[in-house]
Amino acid sequence: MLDIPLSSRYQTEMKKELFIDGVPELLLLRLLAQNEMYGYELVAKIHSISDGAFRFGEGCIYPILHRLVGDRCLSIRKETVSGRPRRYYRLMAKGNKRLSQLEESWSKVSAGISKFGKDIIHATA
Amino acid sequence: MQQRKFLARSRKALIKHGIIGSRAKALLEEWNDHLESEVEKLVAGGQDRESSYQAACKSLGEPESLVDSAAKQLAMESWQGRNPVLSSGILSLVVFILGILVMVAGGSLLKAYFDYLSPEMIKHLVTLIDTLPWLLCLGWLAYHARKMPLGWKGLWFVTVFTAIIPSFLGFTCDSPNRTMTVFMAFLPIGSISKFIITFGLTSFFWWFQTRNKKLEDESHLVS
Repeated sequence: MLDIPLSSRYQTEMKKELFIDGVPELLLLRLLAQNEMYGYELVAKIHSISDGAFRFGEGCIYPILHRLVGDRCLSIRKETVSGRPRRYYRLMAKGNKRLSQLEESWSKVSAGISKFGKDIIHATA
Repeated sequence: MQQRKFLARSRKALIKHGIIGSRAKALLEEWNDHLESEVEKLVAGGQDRESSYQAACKSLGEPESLVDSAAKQLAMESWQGRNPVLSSGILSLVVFILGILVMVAGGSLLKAYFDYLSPEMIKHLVTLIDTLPWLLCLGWLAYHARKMPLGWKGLWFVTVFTAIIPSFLGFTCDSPNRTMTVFMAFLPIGSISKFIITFGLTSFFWWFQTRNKKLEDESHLVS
C-alpha cells in the first residue's frame, strides 16, 4: 500500500485550477502580457497559435476576462468600432503577478507529467 | 436579422439563468462584437454578408449552450456558485442566527437606556428590534438580487426563507418589570405583511428583469 502523508492527500492548492480552469486564464494572461487586445482577437489568437488544439467556448472566455477585470488583474478600455462597443483588455501589475503564479504552477504540473514518459510506462508494463 | 435573433435568444437564455444587469449587457456586447468581427473577416475573405452572418452565428454555437457555458463559468467563479447548497442553506441559517444575536443586542441596549427613554420611544424601539431579523434577511435577499450567484432558483429560495423564517422570531418588552424577551413562535399578524412585502419585492424584481419589452429590444447592440 502506498504511504501518502495525510497532508499531501488533501492538498487543494493544485486542484482543478491547473488542469482545466487555469489553462484559459493562463493563455489569456500570456497573450495580454504582449499586447492590449479585445475579446475576439484573443479567441482567434488562442485558436491560431495552438493550431486549433485549444478552442475554448466563447461562453467561457468572456466571463473569465470579466472576472479578471473584477479582480484588477486586467484593465478595460471601451471603444466604439463601426458603431458597436468593443472592450480592450490590458494586463495590470496584479495580472502579471497572477501570470507568474500560474506559470510556476503549470511548470510543476508539466514537469510532473513529463516524468510519466514512455520509459516508465514500458517499465511498469 | 440572423444576428438580431441570435442576440435575442442569448438575452432570453441569460435572463433564464439569472444573469442580468451589467453582467448580461457586457456579455451580449462581447458576443455582438465577436459576431461582427467574424462577419467582417468572412466578408473580407469574399463571402457575402448574409451567409457570413449565418456562418458566424453557427461558429458561436446555439445561444442557449453558449449561455449555459457562460453561466457555468460564472457559477464556478464564486464560492457560492461552487457550493450552492452550503451557501444557500447554511449561510441563510447564519443570517437567522445573526438575527437572534441582533435582537439580543438590541434588547440589551434598550435595557441599558431604559430610564432615559419615553414609553412612546420604547414602543417604537421594540417594534424596530422585532423587525430586525427580517430586515437582515432582506439585506441577504438584496445581496442575492444584486449578485445572483445562484440564479433565479437561489433568489426564490432566499425569498421564501426571508418571508417565512424571521416570522418565527419575536421580541417583546414588559415595561413595568423591564423584562425583554426574545421568543420563537409563529405570529400570523406580523408575518402576513412581511410575507406580502418580501414576495412583492422579489416578484416585482423578477417581472422587471424578465418583461417582454426587455427581451425583444436589442437595438442598442446592433450596429
